[in-house]
Amino acid sequence: MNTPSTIALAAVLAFALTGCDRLKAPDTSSDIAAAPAAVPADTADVSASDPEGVVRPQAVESTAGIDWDAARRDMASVPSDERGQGSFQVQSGSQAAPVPVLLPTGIVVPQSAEGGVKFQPMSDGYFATYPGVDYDIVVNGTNEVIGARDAGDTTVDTDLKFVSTASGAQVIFSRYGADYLIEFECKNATGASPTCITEDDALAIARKLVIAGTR
Amino acid sequence: MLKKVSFVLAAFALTGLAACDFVRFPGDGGPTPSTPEPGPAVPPGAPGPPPPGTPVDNPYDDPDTTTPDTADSLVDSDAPDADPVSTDDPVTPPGTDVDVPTDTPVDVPPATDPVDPSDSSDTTPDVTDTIDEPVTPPTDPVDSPVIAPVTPPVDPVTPPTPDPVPEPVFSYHAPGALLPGTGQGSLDQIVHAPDIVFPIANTPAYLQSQVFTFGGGVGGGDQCDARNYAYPWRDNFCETRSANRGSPLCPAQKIHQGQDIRVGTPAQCNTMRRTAKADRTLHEVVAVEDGVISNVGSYSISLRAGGRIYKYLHLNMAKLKVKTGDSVTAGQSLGYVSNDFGGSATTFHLHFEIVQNTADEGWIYVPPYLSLVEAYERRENGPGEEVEQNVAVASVPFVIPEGMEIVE
Repeated sequence: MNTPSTIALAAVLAFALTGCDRLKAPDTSSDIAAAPAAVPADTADVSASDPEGVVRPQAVESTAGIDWDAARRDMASVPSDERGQGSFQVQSGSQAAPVPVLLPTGIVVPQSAEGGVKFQPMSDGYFATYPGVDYDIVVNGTNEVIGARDAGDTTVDTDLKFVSTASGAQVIFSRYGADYLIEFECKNATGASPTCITEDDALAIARKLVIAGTR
Repeated sequence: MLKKVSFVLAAFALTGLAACDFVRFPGDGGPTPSTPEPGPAVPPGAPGPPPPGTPVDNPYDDPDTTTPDTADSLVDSDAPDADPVSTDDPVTPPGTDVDVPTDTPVDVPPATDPVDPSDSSDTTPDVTDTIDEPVTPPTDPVDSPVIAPVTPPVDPVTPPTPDPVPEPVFSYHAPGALLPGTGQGSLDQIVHAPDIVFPIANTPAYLQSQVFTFGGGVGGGDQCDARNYAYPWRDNFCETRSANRGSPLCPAQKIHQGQDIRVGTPAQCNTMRRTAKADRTLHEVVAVEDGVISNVGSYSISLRAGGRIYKYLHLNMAKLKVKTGDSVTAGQSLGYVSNDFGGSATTFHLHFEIVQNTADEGWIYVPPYLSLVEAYERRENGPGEEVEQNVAVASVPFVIPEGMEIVE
């Protein structure tokens, strides 16, 4: 072998050394690139067909905005002896319920049931219970809303709405951005006649609610 | 001199080429990359083993007949030959009413042929057991050169075993699918009360009408009939009533504002019937959520929990464990299932309502059905199975007699 041939051979071998990886595993780079893509795709398929992965649409809660200025103005216009608090004290200021407290006035609670009058602040509002002869009255207020309410609608008052129920009746309405429910739970109702209050009487009681607490 | 240098250079290059892997992967104590893995030889450049769960076809091209550019068409062309599903699909066609058992007429008008449309699901082979392999139609012969069948090499790596599919622990009709002729179901079918606890502790429960099943005012018969104590469940929110009660979520008014839940077994039903009203304590009713008891009526109790009020009717009011103003936690016992209905009685069941403050309508009655399905799945630690509505074997719609007063 002459010198030029030896040099050429050496050059070829040196070049081969440089590219030996590619000679031994020609498609390594493409395989590596493809492998990670395959794993997530397979994982996604499994999760999509997982029988326990049944996702049903759910109610989503939100908190309604309250027009406290309007509530305070209204409360300032109501004499303290007409606020319908009964035997309990409604907290005001920072300790108050997170919605303006509306309570009934002009209702008669039997003397024997006066101890049953209850006011219960809640994290989302309050309820107040008034035992009666023919029916109990439960006034509920809340700022917890299921579903999103349009911005701008938070302080829109709504008309009173009467609904008969399987255990009495109820009246619903919105005020100051909060939502209120007055329940009339019959005391002597039977299955054949679960009626203990007329629509007119229920709406009259609802119209006599007064504001008894704000923040 | 130049010749010597050339020889040295050539010898060095030869040695380096032979050992190039160790030069490039110093410290690699394992086999060199060129060491063949156990198993069949893989042609250079062939794709790796298929990922688990993908259709198993011949992943390797025949090096003698194909080029890498035709690999995709080859994979597809193998599918029809290898797929056993395409020709012998055992799934019963929809509407087939053969082999319908006649011993489970839960959702059937008692006065009619007791065949439940859902029963067809019992006779339908579980499609999840079939091979879930895509069926590829025969491909264009131009794009798919005919090749000899190639047995795929055995995958040396065992694919991960998929999680076993949990067996359904109960079945239920679709939400809003009321018994035919008993009204139109609610169109708003979401889980209105996520994460609630099922209101009945431990005992088997069956959501169904109490008016149109055995023992009901329209259904007739005996409430302890064994056919009342069987799945699938049936939604009865929005079911027709005579009184003017409504919900904006029902297509019509004068409706049932809750969900009726029958509880226990036929034997327990008969036991309750023989037990004095005030002593019925077989089936515990529990709080579905943390909250406060806001009212105890003559046959109802109300649980206030945030923007929801849960109402429980027909408990044994003589054995209540709570009173107005009591704070309760989810799962806490409230009392027992009975049939109290003021001065009258109803069937043994729990009538369960959800009154919810919604953004659009304010406080309204919402359908409890899906919330109860999910709560029961959690209680039973297994999934429920929604049965398919089979129109071909649907029961005869109820015809409510004119002037009939439907209460409850």
